[in-house]
Amino acid sequence: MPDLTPHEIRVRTRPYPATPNGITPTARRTADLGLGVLSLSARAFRGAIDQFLPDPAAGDPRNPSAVRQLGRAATGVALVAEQHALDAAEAIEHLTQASWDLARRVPILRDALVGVDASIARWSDRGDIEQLRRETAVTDFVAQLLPAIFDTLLERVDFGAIVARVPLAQIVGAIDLGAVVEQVDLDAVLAQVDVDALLRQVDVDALLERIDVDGLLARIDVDGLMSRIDLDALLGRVELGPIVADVLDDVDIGGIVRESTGSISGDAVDGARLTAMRLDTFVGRVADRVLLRGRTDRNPVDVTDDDAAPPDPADGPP
Amino acid sequence: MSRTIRNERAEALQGGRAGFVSRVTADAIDFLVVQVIYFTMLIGVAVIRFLITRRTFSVVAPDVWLTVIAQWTIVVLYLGSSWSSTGRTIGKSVLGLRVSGLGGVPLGPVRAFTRAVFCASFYPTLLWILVSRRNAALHDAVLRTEVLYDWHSTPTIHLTDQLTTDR
Repeated sequence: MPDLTPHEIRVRTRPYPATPNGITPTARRTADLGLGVLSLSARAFRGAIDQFLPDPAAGDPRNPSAVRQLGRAATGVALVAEQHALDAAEAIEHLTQASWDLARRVPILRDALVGVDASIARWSDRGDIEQLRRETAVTDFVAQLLPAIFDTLLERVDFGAIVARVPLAQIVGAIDLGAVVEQVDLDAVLAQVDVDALLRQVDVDALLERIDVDGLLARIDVDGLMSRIDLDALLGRVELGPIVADVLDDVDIGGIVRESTGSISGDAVDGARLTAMRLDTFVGRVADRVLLRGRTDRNPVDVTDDDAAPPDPADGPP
Repeated sequence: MSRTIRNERAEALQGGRAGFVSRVTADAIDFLVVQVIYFTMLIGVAVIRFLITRRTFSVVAPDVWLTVIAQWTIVVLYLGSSWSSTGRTIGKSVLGLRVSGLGGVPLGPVRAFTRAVFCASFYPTLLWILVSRRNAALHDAVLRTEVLYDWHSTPTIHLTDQLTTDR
């Protein structure tokens, strides 16, 4: 859109950096919006009058009368004045804020302003709370009022009469369903359907409970089915090699062999040691007999109570 | 590494004094180990000689006195170092035995090497086990040492002393 406003008469705005969270920027936006609404309303009103009550004596709209021109000029002056007033207000707000910030940095003033700050904050909070209370009350009021209004409206509306006035048959007759269906790209629609999400919503258990499995099975001719299956061809298509390799990868045969042989060799060593222990006791007893002395405490614990132990030398000659 | 002993009697005997058969068997295994060390050394010497002289590879058979001295030295070093460190030689760890001072205390290097010299010089003193009332060889009696059943790697409580004091 071309820039229609001549540069030299464009209103200069925002001479100062906008005060953060200040009043003037809000006021400027509100004024802009309000004036825009007013202007649009006036234009719409004038357009409506021109359309519905046309003036037979109207001249060329590009050549307005002097008074009309004056009105437009007055609007321009007023708008520029408004902008300048807002600029001044913004400057004052900016100056106030700057002085306030400066005062907060001056040692003695700073201490005095702490109290003022606290007081302002307290009253601001108070105001916020009070406003919130009123807003809540209004919201409650509206929440109760709206259903009541709608109820009253619905009671008075005769829906039967409204529906009766709708020419449904004509509407349906006018719709060429075939043409509509032809225009629908079913593939694209199906591509957008999330089948997984749909299936997640299906209660498979409930579905299966409704199925008469016995009845279904009774209707299946298993023998006929089996006779139609070519097992040899099926097995021929199965690659056993990779399957066996996968299984062997999962089974740690080396570990099993190590564990079992380790356990077996451990048992063998233990057995040999135990035999040596029993022979120790046996030889010790024999020596004691030969030396013609009773039981000695060569070892505090004996293993001779074991049935598999070597025979006691007292039972017979060694 | 500690291992589980599945036999209850063997478990009960842990820490007891080992008898003649176990100790002689362990010594027999150690004798084999010493022979392996000795012949490995002979072969090593032969390899080095071959590498230096580049003549035919031949293992020299040393004189008998040299063999005796060499084997005696190997036995002393092997037994002494084993007993002063873990208390076990290869043969003793196969049979599950451990050499210790009275009460199961580990042997110091001096006592271990003295015992090794004793064993290497007067091996038949082992026969004293048969005479001793507490399964002690002559060198055990002199050096106040004993050989215990100890299938665990970690030293066990000295069962013999405990039970003797109980009686």
